[in-house]
Amino acid sequence: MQPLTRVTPATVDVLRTFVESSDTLWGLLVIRESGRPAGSVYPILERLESMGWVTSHWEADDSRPGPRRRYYELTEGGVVAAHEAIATFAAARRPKTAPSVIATSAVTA
Amino acid sequence: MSVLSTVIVRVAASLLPVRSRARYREQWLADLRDAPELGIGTAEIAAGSIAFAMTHGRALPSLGPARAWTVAARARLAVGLSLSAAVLAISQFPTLSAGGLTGNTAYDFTTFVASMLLTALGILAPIAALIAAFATAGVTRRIRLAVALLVLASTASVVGGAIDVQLWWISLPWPLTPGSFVYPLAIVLVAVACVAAWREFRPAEPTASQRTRPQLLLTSVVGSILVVTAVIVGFVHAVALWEARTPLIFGLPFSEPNRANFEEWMTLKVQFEGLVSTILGAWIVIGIVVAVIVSLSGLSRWATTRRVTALSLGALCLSLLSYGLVLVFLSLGSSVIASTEPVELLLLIARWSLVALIVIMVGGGRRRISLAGSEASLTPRLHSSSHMP
Repeated sequence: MQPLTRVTPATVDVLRTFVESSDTLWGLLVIRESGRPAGSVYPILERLESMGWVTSHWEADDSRPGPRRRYYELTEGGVVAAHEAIATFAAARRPKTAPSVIATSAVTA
Repeated sequence: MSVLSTVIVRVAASLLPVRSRARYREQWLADLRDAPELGIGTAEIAAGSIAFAMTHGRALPSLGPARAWTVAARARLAVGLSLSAAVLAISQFPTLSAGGLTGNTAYDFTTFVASMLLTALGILAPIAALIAAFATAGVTRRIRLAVALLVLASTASVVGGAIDVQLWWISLPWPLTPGSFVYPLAIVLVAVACVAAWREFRPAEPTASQRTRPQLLLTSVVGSILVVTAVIVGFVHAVALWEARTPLIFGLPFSEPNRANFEEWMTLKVQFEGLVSTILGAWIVIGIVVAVIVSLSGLSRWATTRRVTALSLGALCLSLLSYGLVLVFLSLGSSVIASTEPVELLLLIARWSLVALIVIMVGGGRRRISLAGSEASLTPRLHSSSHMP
């Protein structure tokens, strides 16, 4: 599995969708759950798959006529890496005013 | 499932490499089928598939030096062709009043052939660029995006210009013509594409042997003199043409219709005098700024004789093309001045020179290019040199 060279907010939203979902996802469901447009989700899924973060397979349900869905799921390493990426992204986005607020509270106390 | 969305998805899938074409076609068609069930529009899926096809990296597991060289050469060629087509299409704007790219006044065989060749290039170059960029595995997404934007810019300009030429009899006011929307849009697209392509075609810093100071300075000075000369001669000619409009009336008998014509011309002249002065003034200022840039280019650490020569010739071509633009404003809607033979010939020469320059510099020069799936930056020189890994 290769590390992602670029983690965008859209990538984090897609990863969060995988982490928070208990079902197997397909592209369309990722689009809906992540709230990101298809033009962002499709390339992200392809990137995650080429980097080894997710795997994909065709649906095995023969009862549905027509084209098959392509299901995606996080790989074993992808689960760990996704949690780390989400945490790192959240930490980077956290407001930096918190320490000064704590310091002020301590002085007041 | 809307028919249009299905068609778009199939087209997008057909743009993908052969090995992934069937997979994404089926996946997207399934998404199209299920989209209404999840409350998602089919247009969203169609747009997503196009976006994916345009940015899909076709990284190969490993690219040998020979393969990498081929990919780099095709990427350069694709950008060179599409950029030349876009510049060519945008450059037709100054001659729209004279019939656009081919012109209504193909007065001799040479000009006719030159115009037809330009038209053929304007049509064939984008097609060739698309094939080179999208059918070659290993071309990076950034290059592919740049080529797509450039092709869009050239197509929009040609279509907008053609509509403008065909709608001449409706006499739409200038801000409402298709060209007034399309050309600024095309210029923005070209600028974005150039930024994208520039990040891939990082020029190598020249070696000491490539930077012979006296030669560089001489080239840049000669280039700036040529640009200044073109602007000054163009300015004098433009002013002469503008001033010559009124005296044309004087040679005629002073009958009532001619008196009316005379008064109409004078009214127009007074009305547009300020605008014309502003345009000519702006042109002179821009021309001098460009000339200064050319003259200073010899001092840059990235300068080589080849690059400064290309910059000088490009600036000269753009000065000549902008001269045509100035004449359009001077003609006040009449094609009489803009389509004079020397002017059309000059515009054709400028266009050809610019097209050749772009194709040679971008499409044929030795450039570093980073390839998808390969960390190494390769130049054609590496292929045959002892530095080859």
